[in-house]
Amino acid sequence: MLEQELSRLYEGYGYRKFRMSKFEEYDLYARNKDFLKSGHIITFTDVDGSLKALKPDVTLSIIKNDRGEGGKVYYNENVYREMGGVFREILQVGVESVGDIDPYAEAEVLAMAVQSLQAFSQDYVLDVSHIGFLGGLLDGMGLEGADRTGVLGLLAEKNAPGVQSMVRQGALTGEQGEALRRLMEICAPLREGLAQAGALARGGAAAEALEQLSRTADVLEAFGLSDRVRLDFSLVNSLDYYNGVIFQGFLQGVPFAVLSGGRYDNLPRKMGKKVGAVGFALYMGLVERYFGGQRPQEADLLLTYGPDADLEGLAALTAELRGAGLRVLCRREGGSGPAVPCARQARYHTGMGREEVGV
Amino acid sequence: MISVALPKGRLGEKAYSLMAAAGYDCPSILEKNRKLTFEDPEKGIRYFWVKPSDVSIYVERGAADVGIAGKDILAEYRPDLYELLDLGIGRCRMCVAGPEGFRDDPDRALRVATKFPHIAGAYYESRSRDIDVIKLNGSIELAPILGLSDVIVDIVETGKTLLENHLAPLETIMEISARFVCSKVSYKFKREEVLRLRDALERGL
Repeated sequence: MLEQELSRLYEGYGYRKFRMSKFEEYDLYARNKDFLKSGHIITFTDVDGSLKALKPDVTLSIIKNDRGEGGKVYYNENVYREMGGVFREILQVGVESVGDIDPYAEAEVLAMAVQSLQAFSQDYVLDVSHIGFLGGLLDGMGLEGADRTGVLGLLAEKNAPGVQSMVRQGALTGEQGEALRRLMEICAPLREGLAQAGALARGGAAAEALEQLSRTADVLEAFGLSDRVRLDFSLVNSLDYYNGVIFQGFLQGVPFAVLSGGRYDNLPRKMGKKVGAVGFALYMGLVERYFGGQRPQEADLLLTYGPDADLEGLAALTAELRGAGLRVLCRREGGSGPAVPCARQARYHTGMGREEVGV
Repeated sequence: MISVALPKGRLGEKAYSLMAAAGYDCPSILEKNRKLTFEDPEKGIRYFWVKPSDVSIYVERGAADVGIAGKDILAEYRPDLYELLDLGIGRCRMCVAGPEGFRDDPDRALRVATKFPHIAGAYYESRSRDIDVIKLNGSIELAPILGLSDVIVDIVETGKTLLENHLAPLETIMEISARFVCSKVSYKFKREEVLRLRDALERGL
């Protein structure tokens, strides 16, 4: 149900459905290993001897299949990934906008991310960060190597005590420590957050990145969807691949990010395509566990019958009821079987008419 | 309502007294009974006691909004959560310890007994030292005495237990203290309440 609702949403923005096979050349994943969250992939040898894989990701295939002219697509596919030490099949829904990415294209994807979250619950938050801003800021502090990785880890944890301890060890100046502490405190509506972050950027790449993000924010505001979008620099996932805006969606009651995405121009460039790309994925299979709701009724009517019942009459009655659009489950009395949630239940007797079961 | 996972034991009791001093007291928690959760709806707080190593699991999965966890547990399990405050209690060190006068033989893998295989693994990897990790669940000091391992990686508070067993701390891996941690999702949806609690705790330190 929800999948159809999401498909309609993406089609409303003119996105075309992307379909692909379960299998893909293993080579594609081997060459782009750093794009995948985990290196574990289910592989097998095809009849012709080539090495294939059960797809752990859809984005790579979309970019691979792009002929350099770009396009806007959405998908709804099962992916095969390692989670908690075992392989799992997970339903993933996602959107990719490939081509010349301007603030409109970026804001459109953010808007779809917001609306996708709304499809689950009104208690949602979309956190937005910008890789270029963080990169520019850390470059400006002259942080490299282990210190840079360390600082990024602390930002992800909003770990102010950790920054203080780096200042004490002399890895950061007091001024830098204070700037990082203020950066961690930012968790504000996009517009307000941009103003706070602006105070930390001293020109250069960081300020430029904020300027870009601010233009995207303008368009998102015009879409009327910026209310629950917040700027928060604790998302620092996959820094190698994303190069601009990155974002994650959260729903109240689900203990992990249900949606994640961003700008990833490096991937198409690596594949020799002169286009940019922005997109997101929504982990449907994982979210559904939390939004299962009540179990739907499996049948409208459970009809039981005795050992000496008139079976022809029963068949005729159920055919008539089905004709009226009812889902009818027949079960012999005393027979075993699992409990089935049904709206109504009745016992069949010879000559029973449809009015007797309340139709 | 903010729910707080407290580690059972001395550290948890100290942590609760910090919380109480910060205005989040809940006297029913001190009664000796078999209740599992304690709450004060007026103050908007609910406490429960869990095994210390489970605090980060409750918080990471959002069953508790915040919790008090030792840095040792956080460094070992690397849970995905926010580490908002160093409470400065439960101070100790994560150390490599071994027989007094121990000398490492670089020709063979070092056998390391520990309750913290990830911390030990990461520490020796950073020094490019090949090790054989032996994961134990208690009485770590016994391992070098019986020749099960060359050294141990464990928490050292006063060093008294080590001394009694003729062991000595050889290297310090990291300083440990209790941290105030917060679920990433709770931070998104209950930010003001969480920050009010954090600030109240910080003022009391």
